[in-house]
This record gives sequence, structure tokens and C-alpha cells, in this order.
Amino acid sequence: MKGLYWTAGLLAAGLLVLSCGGGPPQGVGEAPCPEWFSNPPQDPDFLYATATAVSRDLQLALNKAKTEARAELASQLEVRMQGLRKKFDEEVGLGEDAQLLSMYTQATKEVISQVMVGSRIAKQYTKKEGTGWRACVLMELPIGAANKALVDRIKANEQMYTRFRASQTFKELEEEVKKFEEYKKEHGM
Amino acid sequence: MACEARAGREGSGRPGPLLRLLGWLLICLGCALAPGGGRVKVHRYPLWFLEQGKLGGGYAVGYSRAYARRDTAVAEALRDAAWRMVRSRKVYIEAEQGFTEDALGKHFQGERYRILVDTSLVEATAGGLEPLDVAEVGNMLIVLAGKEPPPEGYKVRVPVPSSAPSWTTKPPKRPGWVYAVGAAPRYFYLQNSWIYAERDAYLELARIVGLKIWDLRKALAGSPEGVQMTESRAVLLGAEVVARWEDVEKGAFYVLVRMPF
Repeated sequence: MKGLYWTAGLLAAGLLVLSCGGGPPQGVGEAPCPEWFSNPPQDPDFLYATATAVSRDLQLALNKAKTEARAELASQLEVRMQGLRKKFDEEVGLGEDAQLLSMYTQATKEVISQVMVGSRIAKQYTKKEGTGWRACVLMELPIGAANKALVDRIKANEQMYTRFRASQTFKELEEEVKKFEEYKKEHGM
Repeated sequence: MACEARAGREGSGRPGPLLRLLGWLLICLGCALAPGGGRVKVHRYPLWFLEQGKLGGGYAVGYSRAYARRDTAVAEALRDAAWRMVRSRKVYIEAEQGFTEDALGKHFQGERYRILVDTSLVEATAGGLEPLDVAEVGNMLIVLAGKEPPPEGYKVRVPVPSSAPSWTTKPPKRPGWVYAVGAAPRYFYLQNSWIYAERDAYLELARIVGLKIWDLRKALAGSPEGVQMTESRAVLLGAEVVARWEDVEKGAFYVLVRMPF
């Protein structure tokens, strides 16, 4: 009888682990992202960057990965342009304190400031990972001729908006809004 | 003595160990039959909702909660459809996001966004729209609004395809168009999932059009630190929803939008 209890107990525990343990376990050595993640394409008309991120929220996981990939694209752009990228070493911990001296290290700092037009997702992949989400993205940025049509269109958009901001209608709107805000302040609204 | 008596009463009222084990076995079997904590209902959506892009111009989809008073819900959805129709003509979007980074990874610090349409047009547009079809899906009510009836066969209700459409992993590339995909998790109110996925797709379109990125990274004694900011401002003309897909198994919602250029 005791043996029966043990068998049933073990069976129950096994079933519990298998079925209520949050889904099938990820295989050992299984890559978190698809193959394109580690082998991004090569194309002279495009810059590519991959990034992956995890979050409990699907949108956040994707946003993190997209921003990371765009930062990488910006970095690539700056290297190409040999422009604003600043990389410098700082000496940290120098002084008479021996302990600090022993902790001497180099700090690196990188600053990127870039405007990008046309950076878009070429491929993306999302999957549940534990209780959260993993997002993997391949971001592309058309460069040179491939980007010209898009840039032209966007410039036209910007010009249109700039014209609107400069127009009499917009100035009137601004003045009226200003007056209204002052009125609200005066009347404690 | 009293304790013994109580113990005795409890003991006689409780099921035997074998019964308890059987109970556990039943619970575990229940879990095994319902992986992921239970089956989620597969909704049936109108085809015009899932494949809105195929309808052509002149249509808009509006969302509302499925209130007890249906006419209230329809009126709210119709007004929402008018707003979305005006948005598809022209919308100004501002979006900012901030992240910090440390040894544990990247951390979201918040976002600000504004989606501005010419609200004076919403009222006028709403007046000219008719509810061509109304569907209640879960706790959501959706309306197809327009002036002409939709093409034949688009009012049929269909379950979402079980396999992911290719655009969810690889946005289409067609000359003259920019595509973006938005995603959102499952919320209690179904329309919120779709609305947030749609908003995400529009913000992504704005980021494609133009994005400023600032990135500062420092490394001190091997521990990295970083701050990232992105900012986007764009006027989108003719941006429209093309398709929608719900990943029932994972609880994710995807919306594909496009804009001509």
C-alpha cells in the first residue's frame, strides 16, 4: 500500500512539473534569435544592425531592441562619416591613495548624436521567454541612392510643416492660445 | 483531551491519502490538458477588420467597448472611426523615448508622444459616415464606417489564421510605400490591444521618417553605463492600416500600417 502511495505521489509530482512548469523548457544551446541575427546581410546600399532585448512587456522588448539597433546604425553612420564620434580615455583613480591607484582603470566614453532617415525593420522575431518576451530585430538603413527618394519626400514634408509654422494662420493660432492661457491664469482656471 | 477530540473529528472528516493523491492527479491532468494556464478563446473577426488594406480608400474602422447599450457603443465607435479616417489623411506625430543601460541590461525610462490630427475635421467627417457593418468581438465592438458598402464577401466572420502572416516578421517592401508593424500584448479590454498596436505602428512610421538619436556610453572598471534618447517628429500623409493579426497562443496583437511616399 505504501509503495502505491509513493508511485502515485511521484507520478503526480512528475505531471505537475511537466504540465504546470511554464511550458516546455528551452532546449540547451538553443539560440535565442533566428539565424539572421548572427549573420546580417551585406549590401552596399544598406547599413544593417541587429539587436535583442527582453522585457515583461512585448512592446517594451521590441522598443528596446529597435532603439539598440538604431543606436548601432547611428554609430556605424558616424564611423562612416568620421564625424562627431568622440572616443576618449579618462584616467580614473589617480592620486596618492594606494588603493585607488591599484584600482586604476580606463574609462571609455562614447557619444553619438545622429539624425537618421529611413531606418526600418527588415526582420523581427518575438517569442515568449519565461514570463516575459524576447525581441530580436534586424534594422536596415538605406544609404546613398537607395535613400534618396525617401529623403526627398521627407524633406518635402518638413518644408510643408515649416511653411505652416511660418504662416499667418499659425501665428494667429499661437497668439489666441497665448491669450487664452493668460485668461485661464488670471481667472485661476 | 479537547485537542485529541478535535483531531479526531478532523481526521474522520478528511479524505483519505489515496483520495487526496487522486485529487492532485486530477489537477495535474487538468493542467496538462490546458498548457499555459488554459485555452484562450479564438475570436472570429470580420474580414474587413483583418484585411482592411484590401478594401481600398474611403473606409475606416472604429473601436469601442461593447457596452450594454449597443447604440451608445456604435456611436462611440463611429466617432472613433471618423478620427481614424482624419488621421489617415494627415497626422502630426511627436515621440520621445528614454533608456538607461547598466550591467543588467537596458532599462526603459519612459516615453512621451503626441498624435495630433485636425480635430475640426472629425466632426464633419463623422457626419458623412455610415456604419456599414458592426461586429461584437469579445468585449469589443468594432464598426466599419464609410459611404459605400464594402466589396462582396468582406462582411464574413473568420477566425484569425493560426500561423503568423509573413508581415509580422518581415514587413513588406513595395516601391512607393513605407510599411511599419506595431505590436501590443493582450489587455483585458480587447480594443486596447488593437488600439495600442495601431498606435505603436504609427509611432514606428514616424521613426522611419525621421529620428534623432543620442547615445552616451561609459565603461568604468568593466561595468557599462549608458543613456539613450530618441526623438521623432513627423507629418504622415495617407498613412493607413493594412492588416491585423492576433497571435492567440502567445497573446500578442500585430497591426501593419503603410504610408505612400
